Amino acid sequence: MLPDFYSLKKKLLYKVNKKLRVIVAKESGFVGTISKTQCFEGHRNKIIGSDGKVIQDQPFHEETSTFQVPLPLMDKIGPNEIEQKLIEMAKDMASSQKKYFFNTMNKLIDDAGNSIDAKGKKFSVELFLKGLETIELDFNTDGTPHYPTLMMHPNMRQLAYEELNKIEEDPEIKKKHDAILQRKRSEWIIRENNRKLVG
Amino acid sequence: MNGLLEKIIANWLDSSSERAYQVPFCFLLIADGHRIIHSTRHNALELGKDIITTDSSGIVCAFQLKGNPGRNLTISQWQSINGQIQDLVAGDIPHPSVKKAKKFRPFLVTNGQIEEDVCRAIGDYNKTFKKRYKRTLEVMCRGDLLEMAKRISLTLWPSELQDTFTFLQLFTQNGKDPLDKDKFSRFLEDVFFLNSTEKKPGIDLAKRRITSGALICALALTPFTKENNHSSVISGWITYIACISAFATRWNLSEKIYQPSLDLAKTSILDATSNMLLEFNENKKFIEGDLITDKLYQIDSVRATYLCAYISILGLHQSLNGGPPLINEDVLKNLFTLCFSKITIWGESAIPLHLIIFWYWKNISATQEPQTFLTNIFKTLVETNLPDSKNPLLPPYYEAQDLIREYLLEENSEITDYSFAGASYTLEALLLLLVRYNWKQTVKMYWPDVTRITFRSFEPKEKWRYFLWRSELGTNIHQVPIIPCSWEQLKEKATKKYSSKISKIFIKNPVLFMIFISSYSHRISTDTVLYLDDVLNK
Repeated sequence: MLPDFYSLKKKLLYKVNKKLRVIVAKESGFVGTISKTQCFEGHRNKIIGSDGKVIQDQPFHEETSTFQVPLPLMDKIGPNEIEQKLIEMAKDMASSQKKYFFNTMNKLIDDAGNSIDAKGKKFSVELFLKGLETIELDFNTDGTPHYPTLMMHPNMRQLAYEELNKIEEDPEIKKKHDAILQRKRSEWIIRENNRKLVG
Repeated sequence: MNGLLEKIIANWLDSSSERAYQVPFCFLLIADGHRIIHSTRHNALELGKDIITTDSSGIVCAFQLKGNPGRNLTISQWQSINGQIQDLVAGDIPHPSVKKAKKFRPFLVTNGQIEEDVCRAIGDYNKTFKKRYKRTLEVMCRGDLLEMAKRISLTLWPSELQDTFTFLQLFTQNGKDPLDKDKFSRFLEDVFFLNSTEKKPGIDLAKRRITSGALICALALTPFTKENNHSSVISGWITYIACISAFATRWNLSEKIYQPSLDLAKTSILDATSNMLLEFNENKKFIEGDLITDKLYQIDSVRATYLCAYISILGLHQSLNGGPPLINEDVLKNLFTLCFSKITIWGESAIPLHLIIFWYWKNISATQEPQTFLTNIFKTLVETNLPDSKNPLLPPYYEAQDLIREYLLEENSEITDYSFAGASYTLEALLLLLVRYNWKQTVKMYWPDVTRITFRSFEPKEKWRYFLWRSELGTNIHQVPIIPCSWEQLKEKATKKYSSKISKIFIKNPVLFMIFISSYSHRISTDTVLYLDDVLNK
């Protein structure tokens, strides 16, 4: 064995992994902002909703990403190249993590019957309002709605702004939107009232 | 036998006091076919014989132990124990389980060597003993104990002790530190082959594993025994109990095979507990080691919480089991009052300790104060674990030392990568306890916030995995509280009987169950808490 610093390098690798996790979270966009919790043992997760029904019961899913350094290049690459490879690996991990997240979410949404098929049409405020009807909306204590996060391709951003601005600009659309909010507020109040212990 | 391991056993013998080698010696006797009838607790009511057994032929044996670590039994020591020896050989065996045995074998046991003049003196005494009592004093010394240990180890260690390196790490660690339960449990679990897919062992192999597991446990705890680090010794024997329980449950072993060892380990724990409390009772100071870090980081409060829980365990044990107390009841109550004033909650791993404290306090107090205490724990947990909380109480998988390491030393701080707000492993249990005690107004007031906190729990894939420190196989359950919900629904849940979910090992021994969750705090669950509350309220 050649001279080494085995235990210290383990600690350094831990620091590298921590940095990579930050990059993965950043590259994952919205998915990276979702809070993570820790499972300390076991091999499965089971989520049971407030109605007692099982929402999800499945084994842990492993995400991996690798990079390779061909043997002939081993002595030629330096710290910058390795760092670059690690960043690429983190981006790859972020990409597969996002893919897995959306695949899982889409399946859950389809199973719940909450998906809307736009049949190839572009994003529109009408589509947005249709989506708003299907979801549960929470409200802040000052009465303002806690809107969901819209996930879309960056190219759609301008169109989305234009369409959503119609809620304030177009009286008909505003009326429709406010009516939906009113219904959602009532549903929210019922949900919050259900948090009281009866009897 | 592996020369290194022989040296380790010799080292252990050469450094153990009489009390330190007493329990492992009992395990050696069990391995030799003895049935333990009595093992002294060194309390006010001593029978004059430290250990009483029946050997494999049914003959009663009485043992008087002397501690001579690294020394010889000298003539002056021999002369000072003459009276005890006389009593040992001539006296009856005053134990209700033993009929007036005319024929029994008296033994003097020492972990040192015996000097020549002592041997001569024993020889002379035996001439008289034989004439008068028809029996002679037999002697076991260091060499004999080493032989006994080698006999049970010989077929085990070379082929089955896979992690000799881990054993050495444990054997040489700093005895003033808390036991590294992760390392210790994985090591002992390997001794019992709990992390492998082996076939059901035969009875002989099962017995050998159990008794040699005890010896290995005693050896690995040597650094802590030397430092009188009672809490680490307690943790070590709890881990051993967990391993036997896993082993016995996995292979559906008969109680006869494992119960004597389980009882002995429990005795070790209770002895270590009373030794620690007696030590604390001498000066009643909460500081250990350096004052600065103890006070700056409130480690003395963490210590007080553990002490209070140990006092409670001992108090409940004495109350449930009767017999001569290890520590006087009034002394215990005074210590309890002193420690209680300083207790703290550092995370959900403290909740089992607080529950044990609650049960003892309820046992000794006719007032509502214990229930108010329980309510305050519940309120604290709800308030600190709401979804938008910045400082939730961490899950019971994080012990006090983990928090010191992660928050104060910032070594490997993984904690900041995760969010623990909005979830709790112990809230449902506390909630249902309050329902049991009819704290309706408090529950109603806090219920809306409770509904925002997910109840977390872990269900191991097989029952025996419950006793593992960490189980690879099992389901992490995240249960959102049921809404809408009624008081009646909660009451139904709170008054259900949970004994069918509890291991039969713990059903027979609720004190052992409490001892187990005081160390394996992540094994606390709603079933556990409500079952113990049932039993301790009887």
